[in-house]
Order: sequence, then C-alpha cells, then structure tokens
Amino acid sequence: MKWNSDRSLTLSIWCTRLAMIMGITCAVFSPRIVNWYIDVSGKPEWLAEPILIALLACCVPAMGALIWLHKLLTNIRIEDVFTDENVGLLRRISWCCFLAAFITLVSARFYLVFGLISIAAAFMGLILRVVKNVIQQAVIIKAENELTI
Amino acid sequence: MAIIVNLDVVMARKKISAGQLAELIDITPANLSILKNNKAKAIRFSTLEALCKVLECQPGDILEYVADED
Repeated sequence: MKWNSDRSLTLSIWCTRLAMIMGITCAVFSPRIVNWYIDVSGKPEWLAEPILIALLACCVPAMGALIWLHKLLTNIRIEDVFTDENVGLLRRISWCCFLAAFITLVSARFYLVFGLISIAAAFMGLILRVVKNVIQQAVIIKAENELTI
Repeated sequence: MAIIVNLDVVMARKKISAGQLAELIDITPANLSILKNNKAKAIRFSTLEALCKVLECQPGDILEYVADED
C-alpha cells in the first residue's frame, strides 16, 4: 500500500474519532477509573473527588477541541485549507488547550502531577496559536495571490 | 484607491469586448472582470505586456495614480 497525503489525512480523521470515543468512555467511566487509580497507586481516598472533578472538567475542552479538530480535518479534505474558518477553528482549539491548562493548574493544588499536564497543555496551546498565526498570514497571501492578474 | 485601472476606457477606445480581450491576452473573463472593476491587488508584467500589445497602448494608458484624499 502506497502512503500519500490523502491516506495520512484519513488516518488523522480516524485517530480524532477514536480520541472522541475514548474521551466519552473516559467521562462515562471516570468514577471507576479514578477509584481504580486510587487503589492501585495507594493514594489517600480523599484525593478521588478532586481528581474526578478535574478529569470531568477537562473532558469539556477536550471534546470541544476534538470536535473542532475533526471539522478542521474535514475542511482540509475538501481542500479548504487557508480560510478564515480554519483560523477560527485553530484559535478555538488553542483556547481549549489553555482552558485545560488552567483547570489542571488549579487541580495541581491537590495533586502535583496535574501541574505537569498543565504545562504540557499550555505548551500545546501555544504551538497551536503560532500555527494559527501562520495560517492567518497564509490566508492573506492566498487572497493577494488570487487577486493578482 | 491610489491606482486606478482605466481598462474599460482603453477597451472602448479600441472597440474591443471583454470576451475578445480575455481570449487575446489568454486570461479568464472572470480575471479580466476583476482587473476591469479595480478589484485586483496586483498585475503581472506579462499580463500588462499582453494588454499593451493587444490594445496598442502604454501601461500609463491603463493604469493611473490618484492621490488618496486623507
């Protein structure tokens, strides 16, 4: 099987769908997952509640980001790449990352590991903002190119 | 707009239609319309050369600079 950009895009779309399913499953079974984690890691029982709240709160921006990521990928598939809509989608996804970073930063007060997740989420949000800025410039260049006769 | 395209004036002087001109300079009628209606952001030298050749004019006949009011 020869690998090409179309197949790569299809893989990205399916990975995003898989992540959505995993996110929903994680949200539905979060009490069980957290209890299991507390049992296995030997953490104090009182920690279950803040971890569960943080996990469920993070599911909201995560699902938002995944839905907009899916929309972005389907736009790329129909060759609608350098558009204002995609710039808006990237902006929203980056804000989702920052929101998740904020939630995990607050949660780090109870469980320090969330601090590391917060840094990773904020870094991802920052990268997405830079990509958004690049696409924004590309939209302007494309418009200028289209109006060059 | 600082640069005005007076293509319609030159075309009227030469009595040539938009369709004919588009065909002669090898651009699409849609692109010619963008140029004619001052919607273009830039013009390639090759397009300008073709226009001058077909319309037997100088670039200055097609393009005009008008100072902005502000």
